[in-house]
Amino acid sequence: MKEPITVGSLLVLFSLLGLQLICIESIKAVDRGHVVLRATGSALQWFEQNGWPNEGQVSYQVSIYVSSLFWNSPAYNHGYYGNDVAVSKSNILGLIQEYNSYNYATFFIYTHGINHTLYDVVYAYMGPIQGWVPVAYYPVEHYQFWDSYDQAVNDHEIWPKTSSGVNYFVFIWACAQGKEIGSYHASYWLYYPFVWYAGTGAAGMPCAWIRRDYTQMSSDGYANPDSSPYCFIGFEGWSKPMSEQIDGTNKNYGDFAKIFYQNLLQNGRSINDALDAASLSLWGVYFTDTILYNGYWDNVPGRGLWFGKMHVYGNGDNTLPH
Amino acid sequence: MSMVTETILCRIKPGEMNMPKNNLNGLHVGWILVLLTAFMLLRIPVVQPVESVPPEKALDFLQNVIGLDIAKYNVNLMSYYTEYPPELGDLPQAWFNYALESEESKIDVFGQLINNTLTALKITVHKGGPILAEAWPENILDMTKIFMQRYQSCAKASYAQQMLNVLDQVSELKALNVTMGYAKLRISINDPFTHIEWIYTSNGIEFERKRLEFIFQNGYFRFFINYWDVYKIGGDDINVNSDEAVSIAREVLKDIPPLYMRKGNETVKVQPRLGNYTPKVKLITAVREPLTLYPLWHVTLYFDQFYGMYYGVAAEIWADTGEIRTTYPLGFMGAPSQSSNATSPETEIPTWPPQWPPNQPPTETPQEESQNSQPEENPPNQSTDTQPDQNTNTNITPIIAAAITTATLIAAVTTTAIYKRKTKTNLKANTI
Repeated sequence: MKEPITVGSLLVLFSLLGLQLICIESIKAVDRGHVVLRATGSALQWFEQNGWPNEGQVSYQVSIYVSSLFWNSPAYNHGYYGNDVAVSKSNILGLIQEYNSYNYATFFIYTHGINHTLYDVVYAYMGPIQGWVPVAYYPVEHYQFWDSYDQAVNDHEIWPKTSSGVNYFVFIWACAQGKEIGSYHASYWLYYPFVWYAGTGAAGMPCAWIRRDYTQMSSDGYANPDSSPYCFIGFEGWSKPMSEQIDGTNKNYGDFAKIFYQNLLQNGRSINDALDAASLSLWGVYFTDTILYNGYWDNVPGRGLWFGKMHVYGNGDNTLPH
Repeated sequence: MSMVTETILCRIKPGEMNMPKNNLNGLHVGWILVLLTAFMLLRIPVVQPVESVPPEKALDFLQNVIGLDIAKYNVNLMSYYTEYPPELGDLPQAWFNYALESEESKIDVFGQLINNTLTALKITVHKGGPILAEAWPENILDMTKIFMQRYQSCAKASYAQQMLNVLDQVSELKALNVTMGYAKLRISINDPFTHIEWIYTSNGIEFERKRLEFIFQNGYFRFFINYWDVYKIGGDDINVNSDEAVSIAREVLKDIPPLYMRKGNETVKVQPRLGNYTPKVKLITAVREPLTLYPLWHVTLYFDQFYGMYYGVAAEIWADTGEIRTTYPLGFMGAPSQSSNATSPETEIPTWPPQWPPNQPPTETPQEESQNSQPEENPPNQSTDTQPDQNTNTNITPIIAAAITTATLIAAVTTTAIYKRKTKTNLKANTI
């Protein structure tokens, strides 16, 4: 009479074990990685300590905080934290390449960056004597950020490392990286075999990281998110130092990054809700009312008016695995 | 799990519980192990302590002010937690997320409560449109008036009448500012958003944080904010004018601390100096004591040149006392002085001679690039430090799985052994 009890219990037990193994198998099958990089080259300076904020210290605290949020998240089984060590261009490109093999990757990069102009060139074959001659130049705006040794990491160098399209959320806190989504400038025969169009490759950091061009991503993922699983956040023009205080508060822009990631990873909010939570906490307004969303101008000595703005491209309604 | 457990327990008839004591104890141990293991396997979430006051005020607001037909939705509170930030005087600040779902509509609601008062609410429509008890007016002004009338009645907000009075002065939706009493109505249109907000104004000072605001997107309600009840006005006296504020700032910033810059492997110390550029001055308001606002001068003074990433310094001076609140440098994360770092266009012309096949533009489905399929660089070394930084995350799921499997096997072996022992005992008893 007792046999059915034991047999029944064992059956239940092993059934549940089987379910659990299936569950574990499904978790193992997903490789999710996160990278937090803080590249501080010679462009990072610091004031003598007499109460003035130190950008190096503040950015370090922010990147450590974001790292710890990722570290404590069970959703990721790969992580790299370049918070207090020098990260080289080869490190960065190697990481992008490595994470390209995962199912999901997200990057948070703090560094300096600029935009610059390269040229797409049209070459024409002018006969056996003159050979190939450049006949037209088309300026193309490209973007780069720097490693800890002031080496430039260019958008067109990132593109070849992101072929899998698994960089679902990329946030680069540096100047100029979010000015535009951009597009891929391909090389091809305009007129075979006499006229060749030599493109400069991926132009635009969102395009280089996400593998989508300006026709495929929402230009305002906060107000009008698209339906893709991708999102890129970056600055147009000049980005704010993390140590810079927010007017009339005791908080700084580093706090914005911290609250944003806390809401993403600890509270599981969408990117847009996390932007709103950070904005409400610091300014008492939604992101739509902040200077980050609406832009900020300042009359920079010897350079005239400078403009800066944080852009959210793609789908800000996405959530991050957390 | 309860159904499974019930099924098993129902199979144990009362008479079958009369077994030798040692077997009974053994079976109890086995059962406990089985149940514990099953409990672990089913991954029943740990019950978090739940706040005693759920943010139902948000639902009340949506139903009674915005006019959402909440009854048509399946409502789930997705998250709710409370913190006590010092800048709010340790008052509770709660954040919540609701998911409202029906067959034809899906809406996320996100918001904030300060001291159990609804201070912020945002809706995000994911599917269909909001299901309304009655249709919204097409005109945003009319919609706002209705919302405010309802809010006045629901929230018993006496100040809402003054806001409605100002709003009644407006007949056309366009960017404008109208002040009546303490309420300044500001309408701004920043496509796709239309902001209708009332800001507390006194002595010509706009206390921006003390505000009530509706934001519409493409003609639909999207955001609500009300900090009118949260903040107090500490004072509106301006005893220091803007010129005096600049003078105070210049005096304080006579001694700018030296700046350290890296040049190659060397660290260079430089002394930033203020230039003769026109300072930028604006009157803002800020919290001096928790939740109490005072007027504040924000003065920007510019350096005579760029110093690395810095171009100036801000000084904030209380407009009533002339005391400095703070000073801090202003900078950016680029490097105009080092633009030579960018490769010059002349030296970076595209690949030549032409490659075949040419590269392809980005597509929906990422394409493999055979020429770039090999890593060019080695991935960075992963240190084995125990600190989070420089480490690779450890996946503990297999460890948990191994522990669970071990526990299960122990449970199974124990139960089987006890059963065999019991059977032997029964056989012996039968023989005798």
